Amino acid sequence: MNVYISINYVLLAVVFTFLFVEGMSAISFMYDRKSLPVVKKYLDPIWGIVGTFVVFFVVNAEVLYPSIMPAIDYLYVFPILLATLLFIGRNLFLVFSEYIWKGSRFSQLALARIYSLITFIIIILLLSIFISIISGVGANPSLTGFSAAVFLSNPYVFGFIIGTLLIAFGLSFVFYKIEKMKFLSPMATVTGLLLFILSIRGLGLNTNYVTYLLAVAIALVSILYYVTGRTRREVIFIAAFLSVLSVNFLNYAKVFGTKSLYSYLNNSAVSSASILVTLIGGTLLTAMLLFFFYMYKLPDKENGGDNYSEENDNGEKIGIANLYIIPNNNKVNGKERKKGKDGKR
Amino acid sequence: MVNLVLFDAGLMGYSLAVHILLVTVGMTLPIIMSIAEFVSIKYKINVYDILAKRLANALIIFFAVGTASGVVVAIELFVLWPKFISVLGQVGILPLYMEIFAFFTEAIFLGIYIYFWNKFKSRIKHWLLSVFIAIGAVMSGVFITMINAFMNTPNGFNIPYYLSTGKIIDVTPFAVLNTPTTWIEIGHVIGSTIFAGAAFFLAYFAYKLLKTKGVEREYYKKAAKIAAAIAIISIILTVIIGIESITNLMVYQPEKFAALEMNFNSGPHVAEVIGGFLVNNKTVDSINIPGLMSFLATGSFNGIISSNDSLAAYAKSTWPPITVVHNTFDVMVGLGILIGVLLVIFLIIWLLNVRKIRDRFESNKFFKKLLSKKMFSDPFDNPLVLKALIIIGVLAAFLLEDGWVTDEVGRQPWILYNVMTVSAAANTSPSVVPVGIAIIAFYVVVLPATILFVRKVMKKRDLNNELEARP
Repeated sequence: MNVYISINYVLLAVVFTFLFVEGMSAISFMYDRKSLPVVKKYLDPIWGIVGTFVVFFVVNAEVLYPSIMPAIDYLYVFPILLATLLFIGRNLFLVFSEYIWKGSRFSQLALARIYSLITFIIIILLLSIFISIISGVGANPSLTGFSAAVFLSNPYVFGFIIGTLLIAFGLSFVFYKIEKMKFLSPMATVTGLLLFILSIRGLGLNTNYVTYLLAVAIALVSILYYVTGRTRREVIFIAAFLSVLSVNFLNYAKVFGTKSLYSYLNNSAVSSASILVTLIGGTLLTAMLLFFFYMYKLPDKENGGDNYSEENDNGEKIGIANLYIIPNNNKVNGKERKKGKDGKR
Repeated sequence: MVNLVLFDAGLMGYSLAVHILLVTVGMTLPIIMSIAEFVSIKYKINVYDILAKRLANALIIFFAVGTASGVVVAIELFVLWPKFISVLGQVGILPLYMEIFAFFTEAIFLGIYIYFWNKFKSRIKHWLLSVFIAIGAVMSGVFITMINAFMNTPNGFNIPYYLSTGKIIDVTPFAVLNTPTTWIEIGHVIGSTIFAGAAFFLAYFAYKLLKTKGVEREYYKKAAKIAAAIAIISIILTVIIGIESITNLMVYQPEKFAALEMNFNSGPHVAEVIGGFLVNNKTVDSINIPGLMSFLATGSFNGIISSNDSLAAYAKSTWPPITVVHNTFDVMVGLGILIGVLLVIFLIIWLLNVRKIRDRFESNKFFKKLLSKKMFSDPFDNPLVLKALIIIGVLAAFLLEDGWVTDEVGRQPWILYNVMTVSAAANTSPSVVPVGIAIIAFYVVVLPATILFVRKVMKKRDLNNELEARP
């Protein structure tokens, strides 16, 4: 087992875990309008970090396998650039939904739903690129061209993507404690898992008992939530992380279906230097993330810890940043104060 | 049929042109915000606290767009220039890798700074976060500039061997952190970026000073003073480092130097060519100042300019577009120095309005009479000065773009100076075209939309009310 490839796989698992959870957020905005404050409370502080992790993975891959880049660039230039373009939209609509003022033509929910739509497309694009890179579906043998027709006519590709999205839908109930038609949670999760496993096998990827154990564990999370109403978010993070990791390690160093990542590894000088940078940077990053989560869990000093209790959330509040650092402007300040007798400005 | 090399270069250039405007804001805003919060804590002046909070709101919105735009540029670098990125990956990728951690520092601390503001019992600890945000933003710029320095003066591998065989050997990955141009470039790029950002904000605050009254005006005055101080310090440093970077160019990128100067001469007493065009290899419509280039380069009007610093020493096929880069260079130098001088005058007038200094001068009859003239009144209350600051803000944006064009077009036709041409590195897949057009169109909408949104968000929050409500 190669240390550089393993580090890259761990990073990929972190990226897809965050993206998977973001997918759940996007689904919740679409599915249940009441989920808005709960989801935004999770999403608002973390969206910037998720984006950075995606870039981290891309640059890490470039550091470790620079000679694979020309092939990837030629094969996937269209979906990569499209996903990048949509990424601007994702950030923009998320932050717009956070800061949108009362009385605006666009509601917070409408903007959040546009964000959801964009996020869905990004996730579908990234899943497609991932599955094509690992399985080789759609790429020609000389790695100079990509056939969308071949890719789209493969039913297992659809199975893989739909399966993943169904799991995300099922687990979104658990992650955000959504009550609306809760029975759909285990149904979607189990169907999604079956579709997912069937598809990765159909795509010629390896599975073993670890795959099935993880699938059972994920299904149990969903079923237990349906039955008892109890859950912990950390479980979903860990399950998603281990699942992505297991797919990668069970198909170790496999790229474009038949090729090996070993043949693309960088020279030893850059690889060794990158390990040093990864160790120093990774330590700093871990410390910063621990600090972030410590602050996330810490109760608010001015509100006696009430700010983060989900019971206190309501759709009228506009974004966490507004709650914390700006006094209730919309209620007592500015334009609201200048209203005429008929309530019009 | 679209020329795909030109399309790639145009797309990359366009994206970078937009991105650097966002970077100026992203780099300067945390500095202003940090200073404001520090002053509010140290001197217990609540207005600065309100300033820091409002700037934090603007920062998170600009950060959202800036990060996304940064990702676009990074991904474009990867997909539009696959052969270049392959060489970069095998030799000089470490700064890009390190930049990720700087980026994380900014993103994580910004999240904590804004979303968990009220969770901090110690204000000074909260303020420290803003310092890390500023460091993260500046270091991102530092690392990216290292990559640009590597493109200008590549090192860290056996270049002659690569040119003859196409294979990379003798790699020293950390050499890229210290190319002959790295530190000069960093000083010039970071200085000019912070200057441009500070000038934007100064222009905005000056505009507000012209439009507001009372307590609100005092607020903008305090904000303008912070932005002005940053702008003045950074422009002085930028000009000084800029002069040094021209000397550096003569030594390490002589062909680029010759192109920027539109110089065909060597030997003693070489004239400085200002403006003009290149027609049939001859300079026309320019102002030539005899001996000035020799003087600027050597300190003597009879100093010798080496033949390497003349375009005559190079094949025409490796010249960049001479007329373009020569004029953008002249505009950059001229405008930079002009703004620098204006801001130094502004600083002198500002200092003369500091009570202690003014009292000392006014004890002299001559100075008392002189200082009573309107031009020596408080520059933040002088409408003429405020209007000039708005113009400087606009010029700063132009200056930044102009300087960047000079650097990048001046390196043409090379993507990696004397190692790899732009056309050899480009991705010639036709799939680039539709998404490229979409990116261009998207940027056209995104930037104005963001500015309008920030403006509206700020407008919706009644500043007067916040200021009146302060303890």
